[in-house]
Amino acid sequence: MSEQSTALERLSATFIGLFHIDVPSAETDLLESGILDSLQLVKLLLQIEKDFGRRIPIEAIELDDLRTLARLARLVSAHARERLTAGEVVGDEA
Amino acid sequence: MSRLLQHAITDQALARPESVAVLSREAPLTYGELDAASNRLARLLRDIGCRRGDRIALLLPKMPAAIVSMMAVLKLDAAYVPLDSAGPAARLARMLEISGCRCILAAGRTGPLLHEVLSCAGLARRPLLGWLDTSVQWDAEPAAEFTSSHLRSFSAAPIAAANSDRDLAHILFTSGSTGVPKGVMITHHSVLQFLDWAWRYFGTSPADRTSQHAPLHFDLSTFDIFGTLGAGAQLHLVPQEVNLLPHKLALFMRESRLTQWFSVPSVLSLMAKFDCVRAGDFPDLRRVIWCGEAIPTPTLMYWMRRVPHARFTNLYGPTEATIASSYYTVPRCPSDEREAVPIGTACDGEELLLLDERMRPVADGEIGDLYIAGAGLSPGYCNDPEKTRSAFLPRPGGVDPQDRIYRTGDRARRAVNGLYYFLGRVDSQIKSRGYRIELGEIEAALHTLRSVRECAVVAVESAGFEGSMVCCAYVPAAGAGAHPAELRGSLTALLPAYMLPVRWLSYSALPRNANGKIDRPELCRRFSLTGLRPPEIMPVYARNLVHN
Repeated sequence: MSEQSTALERLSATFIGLFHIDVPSAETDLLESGILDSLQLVKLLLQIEKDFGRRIPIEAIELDDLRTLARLARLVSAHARERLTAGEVVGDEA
Repeated sequence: MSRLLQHAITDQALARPESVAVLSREAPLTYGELDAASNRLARLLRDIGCRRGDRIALLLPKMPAAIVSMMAVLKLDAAYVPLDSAGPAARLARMLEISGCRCILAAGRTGPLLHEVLSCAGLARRPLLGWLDTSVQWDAEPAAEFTSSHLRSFSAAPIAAANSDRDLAHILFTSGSTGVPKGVMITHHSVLQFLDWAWRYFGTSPADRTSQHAPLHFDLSTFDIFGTLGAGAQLHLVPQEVNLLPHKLALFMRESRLTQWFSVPSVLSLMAKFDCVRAGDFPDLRRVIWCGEAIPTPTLMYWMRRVPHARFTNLYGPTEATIASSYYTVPRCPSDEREAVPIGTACDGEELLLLDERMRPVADGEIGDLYIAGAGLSPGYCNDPEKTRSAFLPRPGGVDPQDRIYRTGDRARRAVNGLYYFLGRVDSQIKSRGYRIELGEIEAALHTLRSVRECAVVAVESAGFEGSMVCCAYVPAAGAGAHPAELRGSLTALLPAYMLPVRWLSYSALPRNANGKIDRPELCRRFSLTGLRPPEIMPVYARNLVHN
């Protein structure tokens, strides 16, 4: 099974587990149907970090990356090598 | 001749026909084009049988055609009814019934939703249909009475108005506690009263570039659209989807060189949380205005430090009192995150009253129920005299029956400095990300599901940017699985997405208090315990506040 289809399955499970949303298909438009909102996106990114061990900075996301589960899976796979190390979330700006 | 909402815009079209009025992803729309296009559409609507006093629904995404449609409906002496283009169909069909719409104007990707709305069993009379899109076709049943290609054969010359300023300009639907949405009727006079104050207070000029952020079925958008176009300024339509990505919102503000931003506070909080605003960002921005719910003070502090050149103003007021009834411009950046932001003092022509349960005024410093009087008051709810009577009351001790006060359901107090402070609700209406939600409407929808035997919906405050979160405790019907995903799926046909519960708890019996009533405080406590938010984001947010 390819990394992308594994990601797709796990994302689909995440939508049910986290939001109780059963997304009809990998190509369902999440934006047009209002399925995904900003709060859910934040939770989703945190969950992806936990589940896949990789952090996707919100600034690196384009709207089209969020349009369908299939696109989201592609986004997660694309960040495959950007592993999160402990403490990375909180940088120091001072 | 009475002064009407569209007049300020037609005056601008005469003064500056070549100036850009509306900017969006589509081609810019000039004042001259807006005026001509709305004249053609008004004539076409008259030609197919629409008349003065008719209600015309708009199922239109945020696009220039939506602004043209609003103008056209007003020029026809009719009232527009903007509908949520995200549905759901059954709720929209209800709104069409309540407001008795003669016609629907639709466009964009609303096609499948429109088809569903028109097929709803509850719809006794099919409204006329106009499809106003050139890029997306309507090829479903029923056939449209007209499309945008028919507009060309109509003259762009103005048509004479017969309305007075006491006639309706639009009807805006809000959540209803018994499960039926309420249509708030708004007159030309009420909107103009607010705009006259706002133009004076904010000094809006043709040099302004303002945001149009709120969805078109929200009354915040009335201020965006008519406040901007009546002043000859440029209106920038913010695509709905951009709300998901706070850095894209910041980019939009930067690239559009906006001079005024107006939104619900949750958007400002989201941008603060992801630290999307640079020091000295948005050099052209002069005004940041919010409405719809209380702004978290840390959010305000973040913005005031990052954008010190802008003026920050809180507007307060329910739809029933037209856009806003009070205002407060924050004089300096708060130094304490616990400092509450007041809702301020009444706008010109409005009055705030604090009364006790026997309708007597309360003293300064005391908590009372907040009522509003003045020019902004709606005539009431569309085709609902009972709800109108219970919310719009004669002024205590008043002699003129026209002298009414509106019961907001908000609790407030007036400080000795004369400023009013919002202190919560007396009922189960909540605000979540700026959306006004009656928890009773969600319970009513849940009660229609056969898989639910009993349910209670409560709101839990969250530490995050989203404000209140809707939580549902339920008892499944005997033999029904009733998994939250299934319940949520069924509810999407009945409620808009922003009203769907985000947390669920299944019980074999709901907790009850000594009087045998559902113990809602206990449910709130349970939801607060089960849903502790992951702390990952907060430290970044907090540190940015400390270091700036």
